[in-house]
Amino acid sequence: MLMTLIYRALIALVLFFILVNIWREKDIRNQAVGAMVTIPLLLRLLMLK
Amino acid sequence: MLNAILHSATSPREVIALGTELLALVVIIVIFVVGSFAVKLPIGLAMVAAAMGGTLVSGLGIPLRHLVEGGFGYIDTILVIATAMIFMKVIQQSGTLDFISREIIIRYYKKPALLLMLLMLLAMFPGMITGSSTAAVLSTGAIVAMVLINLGIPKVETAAIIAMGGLLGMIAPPVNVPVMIIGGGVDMPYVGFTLPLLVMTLPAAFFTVLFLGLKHCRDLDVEAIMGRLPEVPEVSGFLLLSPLLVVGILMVATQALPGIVPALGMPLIFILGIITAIFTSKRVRPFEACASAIKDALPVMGILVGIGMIIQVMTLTGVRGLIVIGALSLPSVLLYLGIATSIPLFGTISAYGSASVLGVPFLLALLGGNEIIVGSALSLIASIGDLMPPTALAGIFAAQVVGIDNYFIVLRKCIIPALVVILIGIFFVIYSKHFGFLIL
Amino acid sequence: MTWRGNKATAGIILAVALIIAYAAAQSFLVMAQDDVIVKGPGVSEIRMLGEYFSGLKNTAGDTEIYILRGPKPGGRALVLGGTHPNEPSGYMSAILLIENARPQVGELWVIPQSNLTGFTHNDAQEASPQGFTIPTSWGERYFRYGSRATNPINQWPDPDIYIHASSGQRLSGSEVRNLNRAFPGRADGNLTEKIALGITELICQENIDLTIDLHEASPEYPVINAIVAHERAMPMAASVAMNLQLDGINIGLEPSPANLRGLTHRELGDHTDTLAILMETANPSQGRLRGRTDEALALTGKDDGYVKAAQLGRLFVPYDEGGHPLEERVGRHLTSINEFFIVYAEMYPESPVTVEGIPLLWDIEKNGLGAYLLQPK
Repeated sequence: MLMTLIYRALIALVLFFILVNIWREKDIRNQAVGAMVTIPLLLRLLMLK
Repeated sequence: MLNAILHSATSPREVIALGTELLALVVIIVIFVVGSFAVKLPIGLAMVAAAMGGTLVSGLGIPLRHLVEGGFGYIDTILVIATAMIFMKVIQQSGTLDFISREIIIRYYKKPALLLMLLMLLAMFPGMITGSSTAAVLSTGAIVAMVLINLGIPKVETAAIIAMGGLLGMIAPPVNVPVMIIGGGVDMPYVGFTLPLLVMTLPAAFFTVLFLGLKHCRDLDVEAIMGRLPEVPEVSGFLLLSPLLVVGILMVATQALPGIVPALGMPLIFILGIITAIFTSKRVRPFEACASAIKDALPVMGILVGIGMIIQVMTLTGVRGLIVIGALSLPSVLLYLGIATSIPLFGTISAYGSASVLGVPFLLALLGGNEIIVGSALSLIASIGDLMPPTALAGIFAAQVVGIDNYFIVLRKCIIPALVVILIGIFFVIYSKHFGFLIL
Repeated sequence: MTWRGNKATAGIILAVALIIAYAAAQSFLVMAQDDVIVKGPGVSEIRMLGEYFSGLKNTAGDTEIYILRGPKPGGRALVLGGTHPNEPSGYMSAILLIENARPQVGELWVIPQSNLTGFTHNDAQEASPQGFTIPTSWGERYFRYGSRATNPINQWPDPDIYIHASSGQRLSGSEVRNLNRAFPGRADGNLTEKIALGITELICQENIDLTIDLHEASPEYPVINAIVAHERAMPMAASVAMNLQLDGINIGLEPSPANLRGLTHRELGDHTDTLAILMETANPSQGRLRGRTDEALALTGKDDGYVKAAQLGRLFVPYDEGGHPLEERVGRHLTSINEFFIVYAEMYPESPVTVEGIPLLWDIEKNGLGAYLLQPK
């Protein structure tokens, strides 16, 4: 269980820096790539899938 | 191959069924090519568009559940890539890479062939321990790259060497995930593979590094090389090495002492290395290292999500089966050619995916040979998938490590080593029965 | 075309991603809905697996055990369904036993959803249907089609390599969630190992004489339409296979490989006194050669790719346009189970298990599966 929590925290870390990159990004296409990666990460972070 | 499928279809119903599956395959490829080359979409987005195209022509609409579910296939790989990338940025900032590069050159420059072979083993090592070519390229691969470039080997050759090192490391023992995937499909335990895998990977690895590197480091001028090396920070070597030591020790310990050392997993091991670097070096700027690492890794993470979607859609629509049946339909003389071409080509999606989707049926088609040798050889051939664009996990990261934007010029340098790898693989597939003595 | 982005486009794109994530989550959560299993006339009691290993209580792995007691004392047989929830003939056979079987002598214990958490999700990239519907005379029954493995929501992350605890066997990391690689199980292990331990404990504490684990395999896999038997169960399995052949049911017999660890037929046979058996039928919806993957494929087993593969000589079962419908696969399992009870009673007359009411292959092929599914109250 501890390991699951650590890995969820890891996902949160990666997710946070993806959001930072989407925020700083100047090209819509790259913003969309970032957003696309957030979907599975978010669902796993929330343990919905 | 597709031709063979169409000609062999017998009943009209079969032709119709093959028709929709073939149409879906064509639509997926066309949308992907148009999307990535003409519209200049990032590869990941072009893949999403292609996946949607595939479901639309199959009359399945846009099945959101399947698209998102497919994207989950590589979530663990995404975490490995993200954390490995951050780790590499951090040891770049801390000066660890510069330090090791300098030390290796000072000690071994007099024997270039030996030096190159040792460097190749170093480049392979994380792949051998973790079974991940990405982890290898982004950790010791980066160190080896710096040494090679400082020795005067051009960047393109350097990238090709560490890419090949990463994927051969992935296949070399003790941990070879593709062969485990193939074995899992036929209930073959992961036992007895050590020597066959060493015999297959080491010659290929040494050939690669000598073929690409030796001619560039014959008469080394050590003074000039030392002048080119960047300054190393004024701290002890042990402190500089500590993040790498932490990662190396944990990688080995989790594999060698299961039950005593918990299975931390690559992402957590990299994070512990990153934390060590932050505490032992004042030059590390964690926030910027993370942000820039994720920026570099995002295109590949997007590709992985996109590939997951495409595989799910190919499975859903029957395209996956069409490809596998097509490969198995080849007459026996062409079967080996089919293995040599279809497994690396399917690797455009991923080496692991190729091992699972094609490796298992091919192993079943080759029952009667020595399964362990055949499985090892198929995994060796599957490793080439990590060079195949658009995904080319080993290749793209290797290019990034040396600072080359256009991966294709790296790929060109990999062609001959890759052919050697495939030939070694096919040789062992054909003569598997004669190599049973390698299994201890 | 301009692709210039700014903070506003970032916000819009993220909002779209959130909506997609929400919609996708709704479709995944459908799998959390429990299947309806109706208590048949033979069911005397329902227990939870957690009663045999307390570490399972209040976890996603705790699952129902149906106990069917006959009027006369005798031996005890255990049937495991849903060890792999993407192998529907296994758990549908177990459910048909629960809803139809009436033991006369001895006891029949059935765990229909051995890896319950595997029923709550689907494997990425397998494009499995989420479930299937069986028509009956009074309406429809819906059953989930799950994953081969424990849901990562309940057990994550996977290690790089899965090392089987008691043997040290190494398998690829995702096998750590495969219940049929986790036996005999571990009290301080992961959820999958705890489920395995619960089943091992049940067999020990209740002195289960005969354990039959029901599976399916892809048609290109060599062990198929087969009985796999632990060495102690081999004489019995050989008789059963022979009798089935005489009845016109083609079935293979395989000894449980000694070096393949963590499987029911190996570990339950080694670690308990039970006679351990595993049976396989042919399921194209889990194979690599299949064409379009949907509910119809899971139910009918009709697949042009497999017909082609059979013509190429790549399969280990006959395959034609008729496919291998679920009725046939469930019928094979149930007929074989019935035969096991008969042979077991002959070989072990001191503790027989005699069961009536088991639908057999020819009954199910004639009347359909729906004829043997009860109407929920």
